[in-house]
Amino acid sequence: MRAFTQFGSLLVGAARRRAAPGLAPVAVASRLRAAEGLAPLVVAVGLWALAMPNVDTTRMTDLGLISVLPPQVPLAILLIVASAAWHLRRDSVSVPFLTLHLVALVFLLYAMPTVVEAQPRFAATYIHVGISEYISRTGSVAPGLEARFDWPGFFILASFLSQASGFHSTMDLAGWAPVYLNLMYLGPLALIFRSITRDTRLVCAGLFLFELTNWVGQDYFSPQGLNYFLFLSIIGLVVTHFRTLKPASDRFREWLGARRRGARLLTSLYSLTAPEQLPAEDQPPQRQAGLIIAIVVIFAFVAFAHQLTPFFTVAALLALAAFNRITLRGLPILLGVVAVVWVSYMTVPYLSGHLAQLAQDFGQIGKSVGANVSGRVGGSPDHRLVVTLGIVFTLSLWIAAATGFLVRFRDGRRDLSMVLLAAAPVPLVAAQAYGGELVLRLYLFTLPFMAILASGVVYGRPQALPSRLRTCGIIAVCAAITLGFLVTRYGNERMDIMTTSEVLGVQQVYKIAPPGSLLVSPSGNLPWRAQGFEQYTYISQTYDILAGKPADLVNLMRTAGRPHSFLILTASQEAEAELFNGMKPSEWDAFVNQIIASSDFKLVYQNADTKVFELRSPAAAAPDSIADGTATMAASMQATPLLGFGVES
Amino acid sequence: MTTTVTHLTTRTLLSNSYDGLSTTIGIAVIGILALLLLVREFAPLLRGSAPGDTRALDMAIVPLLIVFATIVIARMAELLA
Repeated sequence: MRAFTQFGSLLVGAARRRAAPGLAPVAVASRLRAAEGLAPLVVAVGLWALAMPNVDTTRMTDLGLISVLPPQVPLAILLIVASAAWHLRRDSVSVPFLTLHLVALVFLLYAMPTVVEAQPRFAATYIHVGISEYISRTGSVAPGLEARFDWPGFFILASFLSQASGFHSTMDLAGWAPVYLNLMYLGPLALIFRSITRDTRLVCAGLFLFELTNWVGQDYFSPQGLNYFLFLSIIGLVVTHFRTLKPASDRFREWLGARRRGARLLTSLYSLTAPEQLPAEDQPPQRQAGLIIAIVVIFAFVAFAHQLTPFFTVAALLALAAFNRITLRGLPILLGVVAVVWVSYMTVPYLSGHLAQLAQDFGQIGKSVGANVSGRVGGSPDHRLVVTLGIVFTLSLWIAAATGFLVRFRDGRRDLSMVLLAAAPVPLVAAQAYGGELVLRLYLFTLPFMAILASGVVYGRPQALPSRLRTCGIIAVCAAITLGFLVTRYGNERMDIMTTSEVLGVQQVYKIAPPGSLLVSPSGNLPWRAQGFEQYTYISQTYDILAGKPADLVNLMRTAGRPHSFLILTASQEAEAELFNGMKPSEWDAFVNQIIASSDFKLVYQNADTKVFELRSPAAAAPDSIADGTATMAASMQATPLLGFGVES
Repeated sequence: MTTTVTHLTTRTLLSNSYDGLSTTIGIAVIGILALLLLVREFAPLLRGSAPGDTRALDMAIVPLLIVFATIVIARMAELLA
């Protein structure tokens, strides 16, 4: 650290000599101190920027991006964290200084794939772009075509924004989504954290920890990414402006006082409903009314834009209202009505096909947990390590949060609102497995509250500044967290990356295949459906077809009755088969060779990462069935559980 | 008067399909319920009174919530059937 400070002194040496004549000595000294403090930040960004062009993603192993990252990259991230941690040792901390570090940290953590990969990552991104493109082109939604059209808010907004800002396509908004979304999260997060403490040190530590542990990767170009921001905004507004100032009920307390049997237990339970230490900000009634309307309007958009977030929001507000944390006790009911009305009236096309399955899964906690946790630990050895590390990472954060809560509790601070907000999403696990994704969502929706509670382990007592030794310990822990983050967040990068060859290959398919054709792939992990969303029939098979014979695949494709049928094989699908199914590269090659050798298929296009085969003499289709391709597509897509189709939305 | 109201109500309910009812009367009920819930949140602000003084509104809200639950359950049951 001292070395960097000295380096900073060298950097600003010339400035010192030039600036001194025109400014007062105190101002000059203050500015120079600030410049010296920023030296590690400048060095970190420089290290990162110099190292990133050397990343060769083609050499990536099943450990993901970390396997090809130069050591300077984690070092740069750690340097920023260390600089901020060192600054937090001061008596008075500088908010602009820490904000600058936070912005740099977000950029370094979340811009990595955007910088090293030529195309937006995640197959789901291309589907979301395709839905937005459909809305832009037709000016309407198509609920019968795809379940996501039943919650179209995000796609309509994305379509509007891309057109209003003059972008060619929403794809232009997609690449940098993790960076700008994570920056957007910081505002409402600061609001939430400041509702329990005025200690800038703790608030900043919570924000840093949030960014270092947000590994679930839902902050891409997706309804979840945007709606998470809206969820945080609603919670931030409520806990900031509508905190309770009084006990839940004076009459109930008097009644308790008069009781003899069990009074102690009831009184201690009732004491949990006492308000937090910090009073709410005083607002005139008109402004409060305006805030309530704003909250309802934001929530109405959330209910219209995402299937899960409304229920997480209602659960969080319900927990706060039940324990007298907020004055708006009827708000969760109002918002619950809005959410249920949308689902029961506006998503009928989706519900009519999936309600029985949803009802069957309701309450199956064992099945849900199995699908979300044990069901994920599989595939190649490195992939299993990545998943295991994710579980360890999650449990460690939750344990740290419990410890932080106890540290603050011993110091006389209750933070019950944060505990309630962290616990509120848990019962939703019983509702659905959400395609094996619900535990990830659970982690996401508990993360802000876990992060601020966990920060309490070190910064929970405002009067106790961490010593040098302790700060070194914090930096060491942050180093472990940084490495853990890089493994868990980018551990599936081999399959999440969409290379230029793949994107060009799939674009070529749309040139070769006439509208009405059948497009088949072993999985949905490829950059398709970004155009012509309703004009083709898509089938994503499971990887079981790789173990079968080409004849089985031929029969399946002929059964669909399309005049032209194409099979698309890409590198990211191969990577997914190896990561998740433990398939060997030789097995994939054997399958491809079988298809090449088959007289039923003709190779019509290939590049480094894509092969496209056309089925020879597909079954003749009746004209009306071709026109009805949209319905066929909706029916033939792999059914995913939950309020549906969930993993990517 | 009572007989007329009962007769009209019965006729309205019997002369429409469930789907028709839930998208006409049902929507109206939900609209009123949402409005009352919103007013319930505004009431303490507008009158400067305590949040507990909303009992009059609750008397209307509770039955409407029961009706709302019935509508939703019936819609789901129809979809499952």
